[in-house]
Amino acid sequence: MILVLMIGILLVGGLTCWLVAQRYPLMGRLIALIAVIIAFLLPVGWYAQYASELTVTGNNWLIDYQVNWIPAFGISFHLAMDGLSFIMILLTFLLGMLSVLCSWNEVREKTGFYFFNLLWTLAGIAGVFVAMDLFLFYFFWEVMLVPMYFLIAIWGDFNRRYAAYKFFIFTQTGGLLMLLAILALYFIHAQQNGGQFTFDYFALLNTTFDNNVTARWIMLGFLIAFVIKLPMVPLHNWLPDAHSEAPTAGSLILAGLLLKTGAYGIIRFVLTLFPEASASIAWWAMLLGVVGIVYGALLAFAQTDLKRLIAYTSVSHMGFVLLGVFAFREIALQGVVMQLLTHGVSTGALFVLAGMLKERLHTRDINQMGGLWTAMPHMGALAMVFVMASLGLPFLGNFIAEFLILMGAFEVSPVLTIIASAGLVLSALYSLRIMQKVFQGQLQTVSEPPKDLSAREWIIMASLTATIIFLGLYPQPVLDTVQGFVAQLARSNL
Amino acid sequence: MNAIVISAVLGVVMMFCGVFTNSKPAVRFVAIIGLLGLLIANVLDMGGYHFFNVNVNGMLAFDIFGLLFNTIAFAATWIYFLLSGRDMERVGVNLAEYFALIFFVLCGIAIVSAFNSLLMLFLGIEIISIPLYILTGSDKRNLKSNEAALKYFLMGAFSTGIMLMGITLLYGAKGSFNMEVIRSGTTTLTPMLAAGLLLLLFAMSFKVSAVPFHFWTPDAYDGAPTVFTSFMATIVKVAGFIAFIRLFEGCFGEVHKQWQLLAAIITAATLFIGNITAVFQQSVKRMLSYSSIAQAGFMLFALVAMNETAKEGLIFYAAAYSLATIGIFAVLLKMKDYTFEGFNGLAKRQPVLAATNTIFLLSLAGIPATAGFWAKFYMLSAAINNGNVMWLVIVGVLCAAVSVYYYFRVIQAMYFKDGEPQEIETSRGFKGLLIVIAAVVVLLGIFPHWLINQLYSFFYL
Repeated sequence: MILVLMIGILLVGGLTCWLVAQRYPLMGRLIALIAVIIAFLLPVGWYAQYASELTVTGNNWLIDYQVNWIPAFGISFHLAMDGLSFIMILLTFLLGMLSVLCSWNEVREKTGFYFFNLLWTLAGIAGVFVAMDLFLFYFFWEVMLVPMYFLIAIWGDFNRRYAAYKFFIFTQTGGLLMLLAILALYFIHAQQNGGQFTFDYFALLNTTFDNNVTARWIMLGFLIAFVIKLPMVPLHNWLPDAHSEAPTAGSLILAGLLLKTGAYGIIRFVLTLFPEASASIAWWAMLLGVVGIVYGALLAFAQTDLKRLIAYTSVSHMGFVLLGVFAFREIALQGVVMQLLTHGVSTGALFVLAGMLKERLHTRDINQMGGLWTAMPHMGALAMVFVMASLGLPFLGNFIAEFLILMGAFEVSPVLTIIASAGLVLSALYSLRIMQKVFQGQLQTVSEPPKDLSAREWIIMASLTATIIFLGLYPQPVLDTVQGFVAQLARSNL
Repeated sequence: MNAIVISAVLGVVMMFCGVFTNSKPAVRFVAIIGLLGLLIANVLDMGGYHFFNVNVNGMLAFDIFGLLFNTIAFAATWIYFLLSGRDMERVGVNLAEYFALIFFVLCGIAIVSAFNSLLMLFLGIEIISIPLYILTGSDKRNLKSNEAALKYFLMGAFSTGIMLMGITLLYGAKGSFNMEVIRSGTTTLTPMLAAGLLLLLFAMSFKVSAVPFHFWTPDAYDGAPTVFTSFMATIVKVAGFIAFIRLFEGCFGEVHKQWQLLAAIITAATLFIGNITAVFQQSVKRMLSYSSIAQAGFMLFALVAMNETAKEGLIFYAAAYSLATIGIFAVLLKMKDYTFEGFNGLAKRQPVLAATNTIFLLSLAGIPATAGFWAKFYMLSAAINNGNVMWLVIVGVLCAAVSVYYYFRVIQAMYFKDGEPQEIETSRGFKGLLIVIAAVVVLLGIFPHWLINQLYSFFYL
């Protein structure tokens, strides 16, 4: 029930925001903030209350909620949460709160509609992480898409319409292919079980395939949808445009959460529903992951647009996810979950910084920046933290994640792992370039120096910094929480 | 039977109405009330109250699907009357005659949803077509309208000829017009049967504007007065599909496997050409014509799959597609500029129109939580269930992704572009009705079974 409440409050909050903000814009913002905070506190409070009784280490479902929706098709409104979902939900609402905060002053027109879209996107994302009915999953998958489209297309930068289109059509294509795969799975399952039609994830887990070809095709349907979102290299094309044109909160959600839904989908659905089929393409997926690491890093190094640069680093970081997932090692999968969290936080933070810079300097071109440390030492220092996180400095979360992934993948394919490690060197190149071009060197701006962080910006950056340092120093709680799921996954796929 | 008789009588009544009164609101009122009566009579027919017991000698057979479709077609027409009835006055002076012609079309629709003999099919198609030729050309002083009417008439007559030839060949092979006779014993396609099947397939493809027989559609739809395009592109078009699937299931259901591939190729071509061409249109009206071809491609899935899901899906598709398209046309009718630029900045001046229009467009694009999504869902699941044509399903899905582009162009124009919004006069009732339709579209998107269950519950009260 708490899960329904959590999603419901965002949906209702979004609608009220829209209605209220027409008269009172400030009220609209407050409602949005309160709605997200409540949605964040619900799972946290629930966890605090039952933490002692729960054994998260086993692969058990913490919450399970199911009601019929469209019984004629075997569609039910089935939400459930395990350790993995719990972690993702926490990330969702943490970044959700920050995204409301960081668009506090940035959005001046149509405030209500903006927060409506923001909250509905968050609701869709939260839904994706807890939906255990494949149809419902598809439904949420699409729910997060349309408001995100509006976020980019209305409040984005100069080239926003093109970017929004590209984003929508790429993901829509993937989504529809996934729908086909879901339907195929649904009919195959019904044939095997004497016409018992159901979209339920737990029922569909028992589907067996008489031949590998069918299984592989259906698996590819799912996988394409997920790797478009992830993104994997030949399908990453929408990402730089969408990320760089979106408003700050949009980039934060895109990089921090939307990409994670792709990774989550692979872990939750592709690996569990199609163990053999995914094993059979594992090497190719790892190869593409490594290509993504290197290619993304090289392209990131070549960018002059700050947001585009950060966008390409996402391509590179998500390559690690692909590499880790398809290694099928417990340790690598632990790393993948860590990577999802830390990348969400660190890249999200970089996008927020880019947004703050843009608010002050009205440009994203790093050639027009430089020497900003003198004017903004606080922002510079914080940027340093996240740049270091991005290049994988020990004590910061990303290091743990990438280290675990590389360690797990090494057993499977030493060659690919070595190339991927070389990618880390490239990540140092592009990360340090951000620091050098933006904060060091000759002061470029001739007009009055930009102001340093405001209190609101301090809150945003401080919470992100605390999170990334905590994850770097003490990742054990996260690893414990997902342990059960990951261990079982690794066992069944070996 | 209720629907056939009453709609024909109503047509005659409307003609006399034009003689006795010159008051336009009165004529419109009579038409709206008459259609409501027709709708109720048809629903009662579903419930087992047959007003007329005519011995049709097996020429007609009334089944659930036919009557259900009639109900949806009549209800959609009723909404169309309410939304756009006023706009018919702008076309010309013969308001009563336009309504009369539409009632005759409805009579034809009631026949094609119930025919059991190929002669009745021919009759029904002709009763639908001839009033449409007139409606297309009803803007007498407009050259484009005349051209469209002539083109439509020539193409329509030509395809009717092909259809008759096909019927003749079937008669030659089987010695009967009755579909059951034709169906029974048809396990292989003899050359004569095959020729008949092909001719019928082509003729029906003409009527529903499937590629490569679609060339008349954009011109006819573009040239016709917009208010009638709305009717032609929605209710009439889906009626064609009901006839199509009824004919092919009735006559060639047993040899489905042998013509399935051909139907699949036509479907794929329709999807492809319809969607790709729609992308390049500059006028919203023309875009909607091509979109109607593209949507026809999805409805053809029912023909390819031909199972229970597909038939139920076709009914649902008819409702979803008609509602959304009638809504968009109703807004389009109020505009003076039909290009995409004409929609610029509509959201600022007319938020209600823009918001409802967005829902209709999302529904046509098949985004979840709208009726259009379930329509596509039905069709895709029918085809996947059939299992023989997976490639077609993938083509369909990719084309659906393309369709997002041109539907969203309108949304972008309305919301993201600034322009000199046109002066649009709308009444409170008009907006209210649009909101109701949009609400129905969303409700159907969340509880798709509600409508069909409601309608089923009328059977045999």
